[in-house]
Amino acid sequence: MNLEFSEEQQMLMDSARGFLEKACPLDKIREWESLPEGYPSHMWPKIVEQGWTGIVYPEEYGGLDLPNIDATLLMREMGRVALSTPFLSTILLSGRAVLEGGSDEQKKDVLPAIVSGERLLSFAFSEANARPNAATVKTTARAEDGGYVLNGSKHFVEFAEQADQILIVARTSDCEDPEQGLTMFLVDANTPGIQYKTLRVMALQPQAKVILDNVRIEADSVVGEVDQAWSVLNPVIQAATAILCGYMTGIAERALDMAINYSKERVQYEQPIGAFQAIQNYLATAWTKTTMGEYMAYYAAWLIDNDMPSREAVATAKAFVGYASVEATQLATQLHGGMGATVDARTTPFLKWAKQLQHTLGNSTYHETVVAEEILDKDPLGLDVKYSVALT
Amino acid sequence: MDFRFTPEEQAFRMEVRQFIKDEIPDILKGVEEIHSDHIELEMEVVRKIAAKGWLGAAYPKEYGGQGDNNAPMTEYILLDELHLGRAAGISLTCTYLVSIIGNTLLSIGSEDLKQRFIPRILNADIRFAINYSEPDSGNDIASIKTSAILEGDEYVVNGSKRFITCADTSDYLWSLVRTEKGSRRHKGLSIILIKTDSPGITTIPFEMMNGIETCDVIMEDVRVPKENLVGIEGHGWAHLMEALSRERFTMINFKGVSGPFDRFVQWVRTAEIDGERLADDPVTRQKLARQHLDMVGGKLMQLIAASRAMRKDYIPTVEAAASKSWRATLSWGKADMALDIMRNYGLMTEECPGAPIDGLWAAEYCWAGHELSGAGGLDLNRKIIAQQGLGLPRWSN
Ligand SMILES: Cc1cc2nc3c(=O)[nH]c(=O)nc-3n(C[C@H](O)[C@H](O)[C@H](O)COP(=O)(O)OP(=O)(O)OC[C@H]3O[C@@H](n4cnc5c(N)ncnc54)[C@H](O)[C@@H]3O)c2cc1C
Repeated sequence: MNLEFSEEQQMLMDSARGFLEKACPLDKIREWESLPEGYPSHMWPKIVEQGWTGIVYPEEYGGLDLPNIDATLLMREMGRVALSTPFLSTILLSGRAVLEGGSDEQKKDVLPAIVSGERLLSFAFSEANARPNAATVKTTARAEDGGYVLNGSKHFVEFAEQADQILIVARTSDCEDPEQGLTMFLVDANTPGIQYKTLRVMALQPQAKVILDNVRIEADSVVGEVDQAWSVLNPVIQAATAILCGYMTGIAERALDMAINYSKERVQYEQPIGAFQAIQNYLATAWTKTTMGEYMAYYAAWLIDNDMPSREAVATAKAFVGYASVEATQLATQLHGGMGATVDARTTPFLKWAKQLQHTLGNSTYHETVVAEEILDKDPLGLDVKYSVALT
Repeated sequence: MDFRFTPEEQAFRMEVRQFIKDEIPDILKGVEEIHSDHIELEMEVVRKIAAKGWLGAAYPKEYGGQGDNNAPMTEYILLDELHLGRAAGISLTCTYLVSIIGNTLLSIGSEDLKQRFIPRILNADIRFAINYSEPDSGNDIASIKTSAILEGDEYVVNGSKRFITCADTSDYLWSLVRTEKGSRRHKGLSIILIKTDSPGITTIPFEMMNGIETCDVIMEDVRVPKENLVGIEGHGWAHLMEALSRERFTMINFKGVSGPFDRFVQWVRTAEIDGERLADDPVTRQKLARQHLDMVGGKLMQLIAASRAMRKDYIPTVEAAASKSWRATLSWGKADMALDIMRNYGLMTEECPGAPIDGLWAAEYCWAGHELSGAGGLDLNRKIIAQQGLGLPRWSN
């Protein structure tokens, strides 16, 4: 067992940190909030230049072909500067669904285009229940005239109005098991009948509700097998969730760094506030939780990289990191006192992002229900007969 | 990064597991702390562990060790398996010998002390008690009053100590004393080894809530040869800090927390109250899942500490303090959760026929508070994280 980073991983992190600290200083992050596009779109070409858009893709599509754990480390660095990008929707979700489920032709068309930054994709999956499970999908795709007609609506779709193409998950068959009968479609974002309703959400990220009103699409927009999308989507969402925990860790760590530094500088009662035991207790606890969450994310990504069962670990990580990062950013805000409450407080983007990400791809409460399924309903072999006596 | 144990580590784990099955008598299983009732039986087992060469994995060959590069991991696996095999008491004895006393001696002891003690430690034919706390000095250990004044070739020791576990069954007391008259707080402290059968020592055992035993030790004009000074006179505080960080890392195994939790989850899977399956109750499920997150966190923090212990010249003090304080954070909470789910049935004690899970949680609840004081407990470990880990300033006191 060895939980140290490899030399290559250390290099990846160091170079990413060096680049991002220069490109995204704290005062810039606040300025970007007033950009008309709703996010710092000029950063995407720079990220492409670093090669990061190809991180999980095979070399034949221009990628770096690195494991999920490396992507987690990279996302942690982007979290440290609260960088808003379409990385999750384009690279980790839709692009990856094409990689895992698409035809050769689709892969050759889509993957080099997203790795090179020419094309953005959005991921239209979750609906009214706002959960990353198969049951969320109620949108229907009816076969008609050799193509399909889509009806339904997708909620909280990141970068929906900025994307060139949209990956839509819809029901092609009615089955009792919600994981059956789903199909993925990759279509042009301005296909007639697709309407977008801009949503203003807490963190600096464009989102929209996508309404599909009798949208007619061609049969060749199907990605993967009809009715079988879940077997592709599920592992893609799992991996994206683990990697997202890296981003959330970065958010929490940077907020904590700010809190620690401020506690060393700010003097009250003739000593730095960080000398007060109450404040040391807060910070020590927040550091402990953030570090545990960080390694939960690595563990989940590592399990996926090694083809081991990961459902429990991913859910544990997402739920725990959700709590830990929210707490860390709240603490950072609190310790800045009145300064933490000013309009241009540097802690605010982190505060908002942590809360928003806690809800991205399922919130902590949702993931706890997954954990409960894993520890209580599965693996009956673990039953300890001796203690299973009825209590009546 | 590799969360898997290597085939060699795995093979070693299996060897230890088999050893525990073959060599540890049932009466020692479930003994969570060192207990004077079984001391001889226990030492017999520890000597068998020593004969395997496992105690000396990290030690140089010249003192009878194995000089194993992978030693911190070997040590971690050994102690982990002992906890898993519900032989935490034996794990503690090994820790006292090897991690706390032996390692500190190796690092700062004189050549004479190393020659005299380390081979005996590695053969497990010597026992030590840790003699720091006093009636008026608990967490604030720098306030101790026990004095040891050099008179000719001997220190003359006077003072009283409290909570000195195993003082009544050990050969030596590893003692923190004040060697400089009139010195205050962190200055003028030293560590010396005091033979327990020296004239002037009175040991008074007393029992704790969970049935384990610890002692008061009264020392009146006890004479200790000056060669028994460990390290440098007056540098006791720095030496103590080193010994304490070793102690926290090895003594506190997270299995003590996750083990009972695991048993609880197994129980909930099939338990019914008044015909209703607990595992079907959404509130129960949510509570259990929430605890599960905290358990995984604790397990990982311990693995982080174990992995970083493999770094050259690095003692994972901060990681160990995080592991320890996290354990303390969970102490009563986990018992509250379990007892809440079990309703009144959880209050049935071990002696009560039909008590679910052998009355585990009634016992856990009462004992949980110890987590908050032992080995620096909650607050002191958080202070270590804050000051040593995050670089926050010291309290001005
Ligand atoms: C079973 C058992 C075995 C033991 N074995 C040994 C042994 O072998 N050798 C040995 O030397 N000692 C031993 N101890 C003693 C142990 O180390 C002390 O109990 C511990 O240091 C706490 O001291 P105290 O009990 O005097 O509590 P105090 O220090 O009096 O603390 C009382 C309360 O105040 C809190 N507190 C104290 N200072 C602060 C602060 N600055 N900030 C916030 N909170 C604070 C504590 O957390 C605690 O809640 C043992 C104790 C037990 C229970």
